[in-house]
Amino acid sequence: MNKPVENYLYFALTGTSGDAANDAVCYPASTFIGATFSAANKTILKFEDNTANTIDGAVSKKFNSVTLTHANISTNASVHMDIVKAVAKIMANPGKGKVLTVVDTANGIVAEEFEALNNTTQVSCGDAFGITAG
Amino acid sequence: MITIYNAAAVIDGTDDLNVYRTKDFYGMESTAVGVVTSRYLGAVNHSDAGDVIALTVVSSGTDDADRINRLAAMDAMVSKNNTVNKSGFVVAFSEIENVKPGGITGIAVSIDS
Repeated sequence: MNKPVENYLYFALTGTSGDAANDAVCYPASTFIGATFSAANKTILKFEDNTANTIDGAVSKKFNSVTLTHANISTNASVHMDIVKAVAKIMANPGKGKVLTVVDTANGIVAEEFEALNNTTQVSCGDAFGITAG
Repeated sequence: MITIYNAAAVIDGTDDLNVYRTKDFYGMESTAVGVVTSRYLGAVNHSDAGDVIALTVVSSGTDDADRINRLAAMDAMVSKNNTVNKSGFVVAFSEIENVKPGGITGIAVSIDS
């Protein structure tokens, strides 16, 4: 059986060594479920979790969440839309089998799709990743 | 592909910006005079209670005119959710960007919790 080859999205928090539990997450782009507003300067991305998502009809299904911190709506009214558009462009990368760094906060690395959004506040992962949340 | 919904001119609530995978679009039904309801797989992945987006269209007062208006909204949403492009996203509705296809005047999103 051939395993589908696809891109994975990498996110990392800031921190000291960056090697503690849950400092970084990496999810297949195909497991992206959706995104919503989280705060005036935050957008939350949600990904499928592998602990419950195969049980159709389960009421306790879970997801993994990644919160991106970015400029405030006071400086850019459409920043949340701009952020999700950039994430969509990253996920549409035509390559296969790549690890795409979306945000590596500890190393100050962000995907180039975010560049125009970094003028006032660098896009970062400031909140703990919600692993098997919901 | 990602489908983007922006329900308000100021994004300051969880129902003001909602993004879904286009493949998770479950379809639509009429739910009231001048209202079409779209359904998506919810962010918490429930199969029995997804996210609901009410699309408001002009209600004219006659059944046949209302049917035509609802159908125009459905047609627009099908078109949006069938879009394929290199950017990887499509804006289905946006107050900020004034994207209001198919005669849809406003939307209201209910997120499954």
